[in-house]
Amino acid sequence: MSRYPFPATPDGWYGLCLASDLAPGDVKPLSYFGRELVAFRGQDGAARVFEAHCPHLGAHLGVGGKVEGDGIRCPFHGWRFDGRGCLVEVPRLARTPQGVRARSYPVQERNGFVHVWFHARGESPGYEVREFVGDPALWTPWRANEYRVRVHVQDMTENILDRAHFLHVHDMQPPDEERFETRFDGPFMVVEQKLKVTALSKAGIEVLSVTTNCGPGISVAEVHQGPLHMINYITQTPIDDEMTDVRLHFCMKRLADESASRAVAELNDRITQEQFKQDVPIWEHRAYLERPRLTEVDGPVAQYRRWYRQFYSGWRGVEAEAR
Amino acid sequence: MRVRVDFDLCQGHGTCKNEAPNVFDVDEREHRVVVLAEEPPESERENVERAVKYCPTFALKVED
Repeated sequence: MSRYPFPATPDGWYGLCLASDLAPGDVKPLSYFGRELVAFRGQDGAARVFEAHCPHLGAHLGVGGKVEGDGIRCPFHGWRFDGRGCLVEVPRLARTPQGVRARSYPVQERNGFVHVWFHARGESPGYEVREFVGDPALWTPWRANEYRVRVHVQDMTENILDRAHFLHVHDMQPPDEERFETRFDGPFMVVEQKLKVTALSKAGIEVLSVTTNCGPGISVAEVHQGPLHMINYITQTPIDDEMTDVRLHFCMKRLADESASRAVAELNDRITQEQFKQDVPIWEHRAYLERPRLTEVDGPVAQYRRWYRQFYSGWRGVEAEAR
Repeated sequence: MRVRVDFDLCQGHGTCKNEAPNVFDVDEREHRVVVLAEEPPESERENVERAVKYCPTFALKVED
């Protein structure tokens, strides 16, 4: 039985990989959303994601398939699909069968990542991933850490506004000046809060963190601390009913001093990874309660869950619950 | 003073009933608040404000 009453993959954009990890001609087999997928970059420079199995006899396009032009050729019988997924060539067949397709998924590259769109009812993207990193020359390259966690993406994101857990799980201190604001804006949720991190010194360092969630798959925490502008770009991509691939990426506005940038990046890496590992055992074993007994210090969990319902077109419970 | 409930958020925990029993009741079967007095008297203000503050789902509001 599923741990959660709702589907494992809400509708939205999900991170697949760093754009730089998918060069022209590269082919990657992927398992996400309870499906087998293939990601590749055509010679035209555009990244694409198809359902993995060739409609002919089911070979995995991501295992031995080769990029040709903007499309991909199947390793089994050499069927060739173009960049839209349309079959365009069958070797030694005079007339290519019409209307044969490998199902393709919408792809958006932004902030240095390849994102793919999933929708339970197959609808087109209803929003875009926001831009956080414009000119890459101004930012340090992404540092990435990957985890595979037994958690639903909805539970992970709930963490951001679960104010009380920061003090208990992460051993933070209450900030000197309380500041906490949540803004729900269509598929976006922005949480602005002051946090007092004690990982570096007992007295604590107060930071202003602004986390923008672009739908269910992408959480971007911008931290301003003195002259530093840092970004933790978290992608959480469901594999199946149980597991989620979580990638923590860090970059910051370049400082004049390269070695100072590197030192800050390494420090941030250490802190975020330590904090992440503190969350994992809670996430992997908690139950989803329909009526959690919240208190006034918990943050707007009920509002958050209401906001989240928009991503469940594939869940009949949405209508039942909305009444 | 006027009491407003966001019924979409209310889960009927009954915190409001504990704080202001003259103003709120709970339908235990439906997990839903029942407002006994939409415009409660000034004497209930303190109780109602506590109900608003301690509502687990932040489903209550007071309007003047």
